Amino acid sequence: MVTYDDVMRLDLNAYTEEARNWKTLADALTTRANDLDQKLMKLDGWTGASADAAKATFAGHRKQYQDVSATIANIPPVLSDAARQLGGVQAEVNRLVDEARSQGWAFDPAGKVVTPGPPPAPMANLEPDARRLEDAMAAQLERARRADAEAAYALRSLRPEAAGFAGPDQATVAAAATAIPPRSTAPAEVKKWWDSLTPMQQESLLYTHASEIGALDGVPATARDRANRTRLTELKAQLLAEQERLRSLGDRRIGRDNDRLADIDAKLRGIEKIEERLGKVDGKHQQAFLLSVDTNGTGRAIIAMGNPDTAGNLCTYVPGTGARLEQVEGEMARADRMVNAAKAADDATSTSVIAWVGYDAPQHPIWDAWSEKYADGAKKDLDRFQDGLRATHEGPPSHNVVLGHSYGSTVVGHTARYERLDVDGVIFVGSPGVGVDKIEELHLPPDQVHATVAEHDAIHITNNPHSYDDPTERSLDPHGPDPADPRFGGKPFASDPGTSSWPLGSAAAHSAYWDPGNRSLANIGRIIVGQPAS
Amino acid sequence: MADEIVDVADEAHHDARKLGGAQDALNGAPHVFDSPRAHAEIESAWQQVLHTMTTKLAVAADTLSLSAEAYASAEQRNVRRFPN
Repeated sequence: MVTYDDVMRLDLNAYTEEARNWKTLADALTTRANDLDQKLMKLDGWTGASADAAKATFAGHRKQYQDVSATIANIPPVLSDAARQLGGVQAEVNRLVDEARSQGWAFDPAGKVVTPGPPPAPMANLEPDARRLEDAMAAQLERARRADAEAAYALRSLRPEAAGFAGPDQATVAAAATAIPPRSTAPAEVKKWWDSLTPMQQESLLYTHASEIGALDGVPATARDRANRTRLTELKAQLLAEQERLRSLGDRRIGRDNDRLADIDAKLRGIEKIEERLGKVDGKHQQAFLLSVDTNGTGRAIIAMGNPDTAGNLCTYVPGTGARLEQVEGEMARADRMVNAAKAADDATSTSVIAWVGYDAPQHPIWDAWSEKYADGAKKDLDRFQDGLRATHEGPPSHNVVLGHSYGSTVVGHTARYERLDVDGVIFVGSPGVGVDKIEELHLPPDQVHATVAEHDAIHITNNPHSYDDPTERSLDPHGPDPADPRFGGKPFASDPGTSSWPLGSAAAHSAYWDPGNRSLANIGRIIVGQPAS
Repeated sequence: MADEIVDVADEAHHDARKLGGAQDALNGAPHVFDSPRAHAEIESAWQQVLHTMTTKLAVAADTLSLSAEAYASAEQRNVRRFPN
């Protein structure tokens, strides 16, 4: 039974909001049907039996989109009408409450007139006016029950089955779903599994399990990109819904709500920058591929500038302290610059550079970045990602390097040390140390270990120049000695000195390695394509 | 061309996901009301239909792409077999 309390607790904005969402979907599907029309016109010049069959197939799809759109368009009026009718009930109930109050009475949750408390008590003998109010309230509750029942009936009559849209096709696609290997599976095994699936199974998984497929190393980049674009849309919709809910609280928002709202706003800014980059292809920006996205914690994203499965040169760029979804724009810009630096060094071979914001990075340079735990937390993911690049690569093996900036170099060092990276080189830029005392611990030939540090980079304060001379001093160097020091045994390369700032060096110099014209950028480009740096 | 059709399927799928991502507003309605339940039922059912529809379109586009590749490679073989 519908009570007075139920009616007053009903949020009518929810009906209106749902109506708006369904209308948006119906309109979008009409647009998709028209898009399909445009695409199918390109088949006009194709003739023969196969052409006729293909055209008929796609015409059928086009009609289905239009028909679904037309049916779904009937849902918003039902919800809007329910909101209008129930809104009328709420208004009348409020009026009755006011009238009862003016007589010194109240309504209990069931809609009975009671004497005001505390506690409210049922009236033994109702006065005529009280009886009238109670009857009026009962009539309104009955009106609410009827409006609700009618809306429910109308909505159920718009079920897909009732409109003729469910059937054997649905069962076929549902049956195509198959178990997904866990993320810990070796990427080469994942690739074999993916290749064993039928197109129907692959497409079905891309649409039903976008988050799992999008994050699975060993699935080809084009498929991961499609899955993650779907995931991005979904995550954005979830954040926007939560943002709207929190904003609607207005003055009722408490401190925790404000923190969450700020977090959502920041993540949405990051998502919008990813969307912008995914839509941009021009002379300075290759097609981008979204290889992972996650809004948990500080947020993660992995974006490749160029297809890593077909490029001849690959560089995975691991940023350092402060890396998070909100800051992804800067990381993508650096990746783009490295692509162009590589092209400047060798235009004949294609290059893909991947911005790998794929770990929980330290967020504070003093309180967090001294700890190894962030690097330890990242090493298995970075290693598996590199194996995935090998597993899905097409044609001859690519030239793969991993570049770590600042704390990102510590992540790369830990991964090489404990997981043995399958790469053709590592590049350490502005490093506080890479988690090893000696180059041999990286399990890479010394000539594949490249490093640079700018003269005025503030990172120098984190490295102990006496580490190489004295084991005791080395123990005071939290992440190990500077890998750009010639005594480390790798291949140091030149950077511009950067902006000076006495006496501790500058943060500007620490972030200047990708500035246009900086020698480090040109050198990084050369290393990516397998040429010697200067 | 086939890729463009896959894009249409993906976009339609994103449209449906937006609906799924945003819609939880009626979930908080008092349980005595039936219309929020009916709404949840049809939302779930339509999501499934849209999933089927977009999957089938993407598969059809993939098939078209494979046919086009087979056609192109057959053409290439013919050209090599009958040089000018």
